[in-house]
Amino acid sequence: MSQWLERRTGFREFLKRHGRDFAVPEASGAGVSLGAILVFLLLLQLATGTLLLLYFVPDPAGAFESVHGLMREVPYGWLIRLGHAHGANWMVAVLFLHLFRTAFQGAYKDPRELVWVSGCVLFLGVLGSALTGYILPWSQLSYWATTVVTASLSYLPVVGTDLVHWVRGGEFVGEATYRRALTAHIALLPLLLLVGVAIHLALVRRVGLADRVRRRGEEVTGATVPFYPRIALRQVTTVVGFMLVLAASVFFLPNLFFPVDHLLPADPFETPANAKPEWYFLWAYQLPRLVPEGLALALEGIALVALFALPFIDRGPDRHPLDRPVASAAIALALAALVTLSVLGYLA
Amino acid sequence: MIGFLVRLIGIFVVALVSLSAPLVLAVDDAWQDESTCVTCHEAEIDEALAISVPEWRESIHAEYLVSCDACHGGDPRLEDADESMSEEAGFLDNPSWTEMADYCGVCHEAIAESFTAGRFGSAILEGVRVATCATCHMRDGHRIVASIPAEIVTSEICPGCPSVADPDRCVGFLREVRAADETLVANIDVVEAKGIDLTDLRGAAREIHEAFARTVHAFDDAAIDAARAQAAGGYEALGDRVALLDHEADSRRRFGAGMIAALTLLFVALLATLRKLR
Repeated sequence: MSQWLERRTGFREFLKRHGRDFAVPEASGAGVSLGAILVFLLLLQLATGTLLLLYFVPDPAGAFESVHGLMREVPYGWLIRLGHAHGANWMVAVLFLHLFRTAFQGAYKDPRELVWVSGCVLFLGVLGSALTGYILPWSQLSYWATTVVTASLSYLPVVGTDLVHWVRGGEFVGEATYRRALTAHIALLPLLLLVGVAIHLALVRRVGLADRVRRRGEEVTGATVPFYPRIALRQVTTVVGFMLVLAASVFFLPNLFFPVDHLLPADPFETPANAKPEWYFLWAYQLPRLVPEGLALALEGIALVALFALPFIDRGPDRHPLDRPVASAAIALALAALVTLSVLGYLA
Repeated sequence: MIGFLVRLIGIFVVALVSLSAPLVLAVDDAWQDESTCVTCHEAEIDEALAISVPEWRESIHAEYLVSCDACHGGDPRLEDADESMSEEAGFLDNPSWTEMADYCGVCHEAIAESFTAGRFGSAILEGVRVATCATCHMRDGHRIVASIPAEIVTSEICPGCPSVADPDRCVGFLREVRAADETLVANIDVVEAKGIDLTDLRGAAREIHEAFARTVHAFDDAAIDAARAQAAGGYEALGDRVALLDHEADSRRRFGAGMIAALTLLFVALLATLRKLR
């Protein structure tokens, strides 16, 4: 049977090529394998999202009630929904860690520039997916957080107002906005993420995993080991370790990512006292409250361009953060700004 | 390696502190701009008025962002005291005892209607001095209290009322219903903290409370007796449903504990296998 399958699919050859024959630096993945956790979370999101669609009513008239029913009436509906919601939040958190770790370690340097760029596209795709998923339960939180986030597009010069209108499908957040978010969340963005991850991993496979960071002048041994079994098992262990964290948050801190407004159905006529976006957009919410809107927009634009262009700006051969102090300080400053703005946004 | 980590964390902390200081100051300034009523009265124009600001900050009104102007009128955006408290700015000052129900009824519509149509409202129309909203609910100043203790029923506040001799007859049942309400809401909070959405039961509890509050403010003894029985029955039925869902929440947690135990075993087995492979 396996011979029959092998002749037609070449799956053994495939596994061998990407397992035993894939030589990786001995120290790669010695720490927590954030990439492996992200692949697991993407699969979890696809699985739980598909299961949610069996009972979820994707319509502003019935969405809130159907989520309530899923949490209380459908057997294990609560587990699927909490798995999806917590998974999404953890995915963004782990993605931020993955991004900053890669940046601090200079793992985007020659020949990994395109791995970095494809990762940045995935980063935006995950943020978009989180944002569009947020609106779907049609709670007060969904409605007003979406209103705040979409309104921030109006800061763009010339096209701002038209863009807000286009994204919302009208002047205000409403059914048209809901349809747009739904289409993006269950069709466009999953497709983008799957294709994006395939390209990202194919690029990683081509240029190899980054070796551990060394100081300038330190000897490079070049020692490698096959990806399978040791490195692969290390990554599986990391994923299982992360599953413990995820399970702890789902079962014992179920409201960790939910402010109280998620329990109320959307009401366009009643603005909650403190409408805010989710934690991962708090920095963008807070920045225009502290500096003029134009400057906030310019800073965000510069940050986005700098993010994509990082491998083409910091091009020296050194990877160790202390051997490239300017780049390290800039990345530390960006991280500090992100944390500070988010904390201030949370407290505001 | 440790030295490297320490230096890296050092860079991050320096960046964080240097960014935080000006931004925190900016946020502090924003808080000062909230309302000229608050900024002026907090600056102790006179002691009696100044005390009302910290009291208000502790109140349910502050929690729901109902600021001074919502009750007293005026324009909290104007910096000049005379202008912000002028007739043109819609300043209302404090209401007289005969106007109190209309004043509070702008927001608490159903309660005010019940009060006006009831025994005390009729007495006010006849010019008889009776207790009004502020007598009970502002006895602790602008903190605004919902609960009514028996001590409040005195011959000074309620002249000629037979309940003065036995205040519990008048307010004792309020304590009993409030306790039932608070117990139910506390139990709902506990179950919601475990991840079960009880918005519907919370809404049902609020409806019971509001119906009871409406009846109470009409001060009709027979209607109050009926409302007490209805509220007690309602709270008991809701309490049973909350207890069932609490049981469900606990079984979810047990399931979670089992899953975490299984994952921990798997994790340890994987670590042991990794060690062997090394």
